[in-house]
Amino acid sequence: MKPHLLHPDRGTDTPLVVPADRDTLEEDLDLTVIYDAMAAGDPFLRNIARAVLTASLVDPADIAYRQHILADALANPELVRTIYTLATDAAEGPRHGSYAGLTFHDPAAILHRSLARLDLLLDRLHDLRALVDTHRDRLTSHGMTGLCTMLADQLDDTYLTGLHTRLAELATTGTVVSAALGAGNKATDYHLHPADGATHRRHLPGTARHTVNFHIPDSDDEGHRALTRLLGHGIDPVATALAESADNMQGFLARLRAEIAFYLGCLNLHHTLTDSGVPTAFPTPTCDSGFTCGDLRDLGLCLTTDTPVIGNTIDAGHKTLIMVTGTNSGGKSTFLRSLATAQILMQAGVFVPANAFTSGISHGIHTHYKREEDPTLRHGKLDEELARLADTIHRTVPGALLLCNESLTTTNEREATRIAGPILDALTAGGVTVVFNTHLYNLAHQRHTQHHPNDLFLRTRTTPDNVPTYQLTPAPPEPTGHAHDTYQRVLSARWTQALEPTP
Amino acid sequence: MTCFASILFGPNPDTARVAHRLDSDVAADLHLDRIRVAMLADTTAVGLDEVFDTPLGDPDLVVYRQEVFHDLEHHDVAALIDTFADTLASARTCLDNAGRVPHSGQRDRWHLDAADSYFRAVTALHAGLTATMPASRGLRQLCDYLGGYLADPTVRDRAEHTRALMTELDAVRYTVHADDATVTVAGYRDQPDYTTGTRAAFARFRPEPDHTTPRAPEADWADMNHIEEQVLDAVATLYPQLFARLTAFRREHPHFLDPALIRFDREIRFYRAYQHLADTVGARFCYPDLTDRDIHVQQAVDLALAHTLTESRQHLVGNDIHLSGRERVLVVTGPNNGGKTTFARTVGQLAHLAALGCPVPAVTAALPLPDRVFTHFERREHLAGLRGKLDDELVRIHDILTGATHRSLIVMNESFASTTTDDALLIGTDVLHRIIDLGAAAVFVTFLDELAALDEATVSLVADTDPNDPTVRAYRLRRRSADGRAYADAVAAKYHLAYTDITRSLQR
Repeated sequence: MKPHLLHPDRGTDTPLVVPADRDTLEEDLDLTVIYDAMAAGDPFLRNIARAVLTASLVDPADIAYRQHILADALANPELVRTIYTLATDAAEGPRHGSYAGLTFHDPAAILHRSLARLDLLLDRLHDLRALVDTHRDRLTSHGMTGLCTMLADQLDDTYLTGLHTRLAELATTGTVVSAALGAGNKATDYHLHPADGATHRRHLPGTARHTVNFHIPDSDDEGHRALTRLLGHGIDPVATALAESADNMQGFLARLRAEIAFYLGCLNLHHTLTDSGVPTAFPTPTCDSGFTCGDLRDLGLCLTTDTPVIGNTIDAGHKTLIMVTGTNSGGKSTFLRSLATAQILMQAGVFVPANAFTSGISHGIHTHYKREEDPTLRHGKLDEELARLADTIHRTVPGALLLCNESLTTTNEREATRIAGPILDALTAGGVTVVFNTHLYNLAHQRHTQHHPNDLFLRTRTTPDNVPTYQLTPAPPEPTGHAHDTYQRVLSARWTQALEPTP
Repeated sequence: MTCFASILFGPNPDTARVAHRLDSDVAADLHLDRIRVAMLADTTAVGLDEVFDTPLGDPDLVVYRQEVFHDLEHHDVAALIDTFADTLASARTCLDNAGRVPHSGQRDRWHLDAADSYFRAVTALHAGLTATMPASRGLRQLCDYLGGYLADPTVRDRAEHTRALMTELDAVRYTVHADDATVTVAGYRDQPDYTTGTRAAFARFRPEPDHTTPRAPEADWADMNHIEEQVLDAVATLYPQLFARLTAFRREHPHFLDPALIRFDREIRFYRAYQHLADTVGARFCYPDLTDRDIHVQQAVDLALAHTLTESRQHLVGNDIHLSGRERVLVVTGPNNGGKTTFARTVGQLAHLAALGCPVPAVTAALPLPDRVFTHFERREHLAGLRGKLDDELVRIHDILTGATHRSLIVMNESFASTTTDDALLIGTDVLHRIIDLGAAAVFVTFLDELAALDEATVSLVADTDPNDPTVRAYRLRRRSADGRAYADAVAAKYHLAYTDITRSLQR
């Protein structure tokens, strides 16, 4: 029994894979802000949000599967909360029914403890089934209706009653064990049988003798202990089966808790965004490269600022290199982060803060950001950056998305261009989609003159009087020194002020 | 019945031609001792160290072993051999138990269990070899031998007898019931089964077989306590004829192991141990072609170093080794960073491993079988030594030059470093000339650049990698010094960020 709320049932387990560069992603994209919003104070929710968000899906069907469950969750928030509470209570109940932690292995004790646990857990599962039964008609997703069907099929009343009866029977019977002759004629393959009638059976014809008795003297303590051990071998498989069943029921409930927790986190996130008036939409994943977005906002910024966040509307469909140039503090970094975050949300099956977002599925999302200078650095700055870049690139596979923010600023522009040019050529030729924020005009210009059909050049947009709009627009790279603009904007006003005579 | 002698030394092991035994000094210099330990540490088979120290002198026997290695690369053949070894090992354990346990009902059964394991091992090996059709002479001859062995009437009868008795014993099932201090043992009469019943009822909650709770450790001692013995006596009373036949079996078949198969079981582990080592290190292996004189090897690595780097997964640089025509001596110079010594060891290891008939850690390899490998590495002075360090070195050089032939391999590493440069140059030049006159193949690691261009028999190799680069252990040696490259290209190449590096990485 599996909940199958994070992945469709394919007969095998789909593990959540931690990407090798998760720490880098979290640092560059401020993902912890999103985890915190999803957690709403519950550390368990935060851990789940982190694990699920970064283990990106790559199959559009898997993404749709989660989107549909999330839509059900948004329509039935109370059901999600109640399942979470119920599963949390049961999953945190008493454990250790099996061998774990036992120094002395006593099958009879395990049997009796397991019988008690099972009685309790069977009641919890009954409650869970009753709960989803009452909501069944309002659910439409395969995931949620599948869970209802599975609970109804597997935990029908007849079955649950049958199990209770069997538990009662086992609690009262005596012990007859059977065994076969194993290696060295030692007993093997023990089985447990009901005590009644075993010794008083009618003798079958054909065997000369039917029973052989022997007596253990009272004084033979070791002999009595040996007999208990021997009979324990017969009880052991039954005790183990019951202990494992109890562990597994608890395991199922723990897993249900973990999987429903992700949707509860999404509910928390949705609630926060809706309260702040941020639009949300379920994105459309494609198997093409590039993306288009309408009013795409940066989720991290939406969650940390009270002022309205400006979104971008961009058509970069079929593009494999998006090169962003323009003024510093013009919205380049914010855009890069909004895109990366939306991509991560999409591939986790979550809505995005936009009116619309359509994007190709990435086989791995990687970032390479400029780093603050490390005072403990032993190699040169360029060496450090290239070592990091190499790590990232060698992890990249065709179909991946690589987001670079001001890469190769650790050397002069000529050398940077010479190093970065072939890297960009090789990556795009090899099927990697690259979004490259840069102020390396030579590099951008050189690439622009090559007229690759799948390149898109974006530039920060300012108003005619040089005020940044924090939005991007398609435009070729510009050689003018934007630093000069900044200088003009920030300082010339002050010079003017300073020169004015004081009143 | 055909004979089978040895999977390591062919049909006539006593007359097999071998080269000079590996000296312990040479083994230490070339780190072959470390390879031997890494390879044989886990095996319980005796005498394989001796095999490792015995390079072959017969090219045909080298090929004979290469063929076996090649067969064992097939997973099913390797699995067959491993299963054979495991089953035979359990047969030995059973025999051991039969000689040890006090209860006769158990002794007889352990003896039968041993025979059963043994015949299952042999039969399965024969069936498996027949089905997989090995290409090597060694395994084909073994397969023929097994066919004859199992068809032998005595062996066949014994195997059938074993199987029949086992089947009858397997069919016995009895119950034990305790009423206070009285224990009743009876034949099983189809009572209802709680074990399967409970497991079935809770099946939907139970994990897949591979996730079940690990079983409580089964008591794995061979004997019994007195209660178990009394139960067994009771069962023997219930089935008197069956237990009488069990006793008779042991009396009638006291010995059944075949010496040739026991030898095979021991010797085949040499192959499996080497393969295991090769599989765990991050290097490519190939089967060397044997030449008369020339050496052509691509991207060879130091196997001992590769083994120590297995854990850290560090990148190992392979080096090419070429000596053809008049070229006989590789003179290695360059910065003092360890790459030169590694290279020298690599060459020596390659020659020895090839002479063992093993695949070698290189992409391609062609080399001659040396009659002996000599090494001359800088040594710490012997505490009890009466001679000075230079004296000692010169004595060892003398021994090498008198013992070596044109078919020997000489590996010299930083020799004469204890003397002045002028003296070292004088001695080095003289020794190098003598080696060239002798016609032996040699690697000559030296700090003396002058020796690199001594003669047309010498080839100069220089280390050619940024020594500050922490990402690479061991260094590429090239036939010439590096030509200058633009710094940007160099630094990109250093981090494997050149166009071709990235393209290759993406195509992986």
